[in-house]
Amino acid sequence: MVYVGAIILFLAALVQSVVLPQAVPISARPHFVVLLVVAVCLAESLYEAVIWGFVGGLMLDLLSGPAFPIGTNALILVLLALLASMGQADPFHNLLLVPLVTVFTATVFYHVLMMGVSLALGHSVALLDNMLRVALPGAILNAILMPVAYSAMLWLSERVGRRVRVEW
Amino acid sequence: MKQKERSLSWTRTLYLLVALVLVSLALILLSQGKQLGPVEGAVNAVVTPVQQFARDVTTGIGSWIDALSRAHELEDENRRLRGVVEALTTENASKEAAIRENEQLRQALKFQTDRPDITGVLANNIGGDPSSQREILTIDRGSAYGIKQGMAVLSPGGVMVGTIDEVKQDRATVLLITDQESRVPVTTQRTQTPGILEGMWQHGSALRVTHIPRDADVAKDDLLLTSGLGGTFPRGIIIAQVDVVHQDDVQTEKSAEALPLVETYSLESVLVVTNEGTP
Repeated sequence: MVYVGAIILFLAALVQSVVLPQAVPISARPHFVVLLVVAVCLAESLYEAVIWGFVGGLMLDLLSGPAFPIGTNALILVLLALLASMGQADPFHNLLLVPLVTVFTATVFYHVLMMGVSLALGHSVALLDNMLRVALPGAILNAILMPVAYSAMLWLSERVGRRVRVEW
Repeated sequence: MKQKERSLSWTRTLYLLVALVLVSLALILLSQGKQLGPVEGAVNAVVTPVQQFARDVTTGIGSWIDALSRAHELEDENRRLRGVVEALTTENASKEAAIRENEQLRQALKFQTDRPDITGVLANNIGGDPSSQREILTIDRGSAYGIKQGMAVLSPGGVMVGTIDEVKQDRATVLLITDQESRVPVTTQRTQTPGILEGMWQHGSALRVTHIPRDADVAKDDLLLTSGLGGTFPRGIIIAQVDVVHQDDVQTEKSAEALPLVETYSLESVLVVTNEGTP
């Protein structure tokens, strides 16, 4: 699963750092790597999601140039996997709503942490504007794309994954 | 037995999580201390051609979609232009505006040919900010080509689009003039009125010119040039165009909204001015 994931993550990171900034000149963009990490966490396991988060984050760091130190996205996406694992608990047994809420929350979490890193690096950050124009639209777009990503991950997980869930 | 397996699995996950968090933190520290340079250089040598390829493919597809979408646009444009021609024949005032604009553009063109003093490094745009929070470009040239933080970055046509933000040996990021952190001292070409051009992308618009003296003569369509104040950027580089001027009775200064002259997201290559601050 991890080897298949490395290829998928590389493509997702490439799209995120090269294609989207050129093809979508507005700030509201989905975040494919976040989407994949959450989908893997829900479809497979936290163990897999942590690895996907680290590898995906590292690829984003390497592809996005020196804007952020290498390891920034990797750290955030590993923590994001931990957050997304709460969606595995699913006390409502609602297979539709839980992935949507989880990816929405995880995307906002990612952007909030990125803003924190920007502030820590001495950049000025428009917190409210970033939330309204980047984080929330991005979270909505990720929630819209989640059914496709989640179904694809379930399909992939059944073929090459381990299907071991970590219960909370 | 099942409980034990579950506990082992959770312990293993926890160890992995802690290990990867520590590795990430170590990478951040090493990267901040510039100690990952050789590794990054080797990785960049592999991924940069892939990024350029991805960018070329995106540009190709984008042009194709653009051509398709423009079929309708051209029809609309044609209809609109007919209306404009009719309006122009009846309104002499519009002719004056056109003459002024033409004059400004002619001066701009002359300016471009008159600047052999500017030397620079041509670099390819190979990406942007994946988090979408900052208006930046990644270029495939870095300190190995003499690029330093703060240098001005121009479009191939000579319009200023940003400044160098972060530099590694073979890569750099360009902070675009539309980013809220960007501040460039400017003057209007027509009246030499000073101001500060600030990015407004994060706030939903493009550019804003602040600190314009209250009595200054600034009008829509005025071209803005770098003033060279502070010696950071070369003087007289075209950067933007005034769109709307704001002034009320209370304020001691004017402000204006401005528009960039280049669609920065579609830039394929840029020119980094390496002899910064030269007049």
